[in-house]
Amino acid sequence: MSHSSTTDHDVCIIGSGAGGGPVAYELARAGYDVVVLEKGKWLTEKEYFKDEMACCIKESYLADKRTEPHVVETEKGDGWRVRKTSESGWNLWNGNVVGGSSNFMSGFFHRLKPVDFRLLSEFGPIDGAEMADWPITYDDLEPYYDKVERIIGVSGKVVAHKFQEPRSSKDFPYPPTREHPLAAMIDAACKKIGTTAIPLPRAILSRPDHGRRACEYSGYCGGLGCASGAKGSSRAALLDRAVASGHCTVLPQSHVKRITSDGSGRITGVEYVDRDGKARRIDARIYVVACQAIETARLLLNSTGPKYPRGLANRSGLVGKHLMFAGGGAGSGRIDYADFDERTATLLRDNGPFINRTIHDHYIIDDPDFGARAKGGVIDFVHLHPNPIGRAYGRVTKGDRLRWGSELKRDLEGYFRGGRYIKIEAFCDWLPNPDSFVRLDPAVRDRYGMPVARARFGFHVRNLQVGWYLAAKGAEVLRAMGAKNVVSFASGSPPTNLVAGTCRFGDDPEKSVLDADCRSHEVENLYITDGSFMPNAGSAPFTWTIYANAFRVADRIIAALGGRPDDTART
Amino acid sequence: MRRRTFLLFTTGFAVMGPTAARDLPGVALLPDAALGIDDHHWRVIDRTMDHLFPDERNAPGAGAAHATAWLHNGLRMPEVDDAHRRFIGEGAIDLERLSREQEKKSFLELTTARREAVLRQLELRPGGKAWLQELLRYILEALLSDPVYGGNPGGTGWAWLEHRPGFPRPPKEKRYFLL
Repeated sequence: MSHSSTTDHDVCIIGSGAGGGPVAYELARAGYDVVVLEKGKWLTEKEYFKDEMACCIKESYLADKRTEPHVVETEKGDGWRVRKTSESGWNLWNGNVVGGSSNFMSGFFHRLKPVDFRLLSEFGPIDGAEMADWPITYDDLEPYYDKVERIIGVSGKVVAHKFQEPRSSKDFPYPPTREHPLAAMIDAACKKIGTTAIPLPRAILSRPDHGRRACEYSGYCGGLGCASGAKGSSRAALLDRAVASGHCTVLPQSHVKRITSDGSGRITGVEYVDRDGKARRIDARIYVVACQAIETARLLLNSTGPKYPRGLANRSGLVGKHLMFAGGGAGSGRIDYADFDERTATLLRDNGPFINRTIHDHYIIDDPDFGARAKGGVIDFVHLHPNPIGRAYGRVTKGDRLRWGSELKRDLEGYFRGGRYIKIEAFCDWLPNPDSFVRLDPAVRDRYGMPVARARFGFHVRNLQVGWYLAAKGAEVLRAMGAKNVVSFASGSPPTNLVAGTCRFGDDPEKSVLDADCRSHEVENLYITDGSFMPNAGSAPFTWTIYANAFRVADRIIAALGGRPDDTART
Repeated sequence: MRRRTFLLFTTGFAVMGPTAARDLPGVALLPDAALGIDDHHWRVIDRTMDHLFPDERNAPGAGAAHATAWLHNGLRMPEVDDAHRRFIGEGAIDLERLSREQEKKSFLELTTARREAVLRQLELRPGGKAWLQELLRYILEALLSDPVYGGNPGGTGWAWLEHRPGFPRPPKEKRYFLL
């Protein structure tokens, strides 16, 4: 489609992950001219290997935190301990490559449930939490959850249960991925204790489609790039096809420093540094920011203009507020091979197939032992990440002392050879609260000379209560299946790979940054499509919701640009 | 150091093996003087690694994993800062000093039992535990990383722990520093 315009592109998208990919895909396939700016490299299936040095020891897919640090504030006594990430174990980057962190997700895919869209109405206010209902309902988003199943590729099986979300299609378009024998053991244990484990949907193709191969069950999935294309990353599932449409240009290694605006308040362009270190500028009719919640807030705050002295889209002062993560608890238990016959033990040793079990029975907790009726969450059962260096290094410390010599070696033999660990991941709301936010650090700047994001990680005590409750429920299952060394716990330390909030959407411009279409209340040509829009992030991993919402917003942008031509190729 | 130089070094290391080393087990080339660690203290580090993770008949140790060479090569990588290089070198100096103070001998001359005693004393000193923990980290990297990086020869560490690597595994030209 040709548009008469003096701008370089119809749409400029900053960030290529789960928030940016759907917009690029839909707009390009509708014939609009799209450019995507991504600060990382463009790696493909040919560059992703099962290499612990690359993914995890050297963090090769992340920006260098020595030159691009963040600053974190964590609770210490009555105050806050402030540290640069380059001087601590924190790293707030999650995937600086084309496709963003969706390349490295495990793809445990959950929809939010209708209740998540109206937590304030359903449960009332919570002291110390800043709750708000969503300006849209589950029904508004459902068609897009369905679309994600087909376009990103979600495998699974629908099983009736009391918290099953309403669905417009009967079942998943792809059958479940292969299951590890532990799945049947979890099912049996749940039956024994009167709870229900259901298949956990995955953003992983169980059969080839869309030019992507099916899962090859290498045993190395979460945290690593996918070499088969089965994992539904934004790159494999969306951007490759957007580029193939002929209407989308992806500019890798292009770091956006700021967005400029004029006296009328309209965005006039984007300033970025290209792969050769040259300062560049680009403009478009519409701008979409999707850099993940922390970096999105930072970019807006760094983008002051004549009409935006506090930062772009920040008249309300709410940009950066309500930072959220996936709250919850965790745990593990161990199945000893010696407790099984040789044939079963051999099957249990197999790394490849997935456990893929989740419990939703406690999505709402109605248990007098817990207290008043409250929002709960899901409990996923997953394999431990197999990376041997990281696992072995975790055995080096015992209490206050180090293990070494034959003591360490015998421990490693038992740990690696003697059994398999099952991990519990329990998810609850990270309640938005006044002590969880992002702002610009007053002193620290990155390699481009721009102030870096400073994030405070305050948590609400309810996170811990619900997290402990759910993790303990998961531990009951592990004990019922005969697992040993079962532990469960909750923590206020945020899992920084699942980040949301900072640009909440809503109907009231005084209480939200974005409107119901995820367009800035005050900047006419600005949309935000990563997890920043969420007033609460659900009690489950929320990547599916980010994808679905970005598809929804893409429809709104297409409408704003003049609509979709009748001859648009459809999926 | 430029990446190509490192590539040649690791390739040489992998091909030549420890027999080409001067007298540092596992080091194919002379220690890089730019790292600021002299030969004597490289030997102290090498002996420490052997003690922390000894070679056994059915269980590879630091020697079999080429851990000293791994550490040496790792310290030469461009992403490693000088403060870390100094930390490793100064840790060896502290250990040798402690040994001479406590045992009146070089760490290299101690029996296994006395090495253990000195290392446990070092663990309690400021920075001592962190230094030992770093050496253990390097040992485990050498033992359990993909053999394409020059450690874990023939997958000996994986075989010992019955660990199944994923696939596809990285080829030489796609090691992390070449991506």
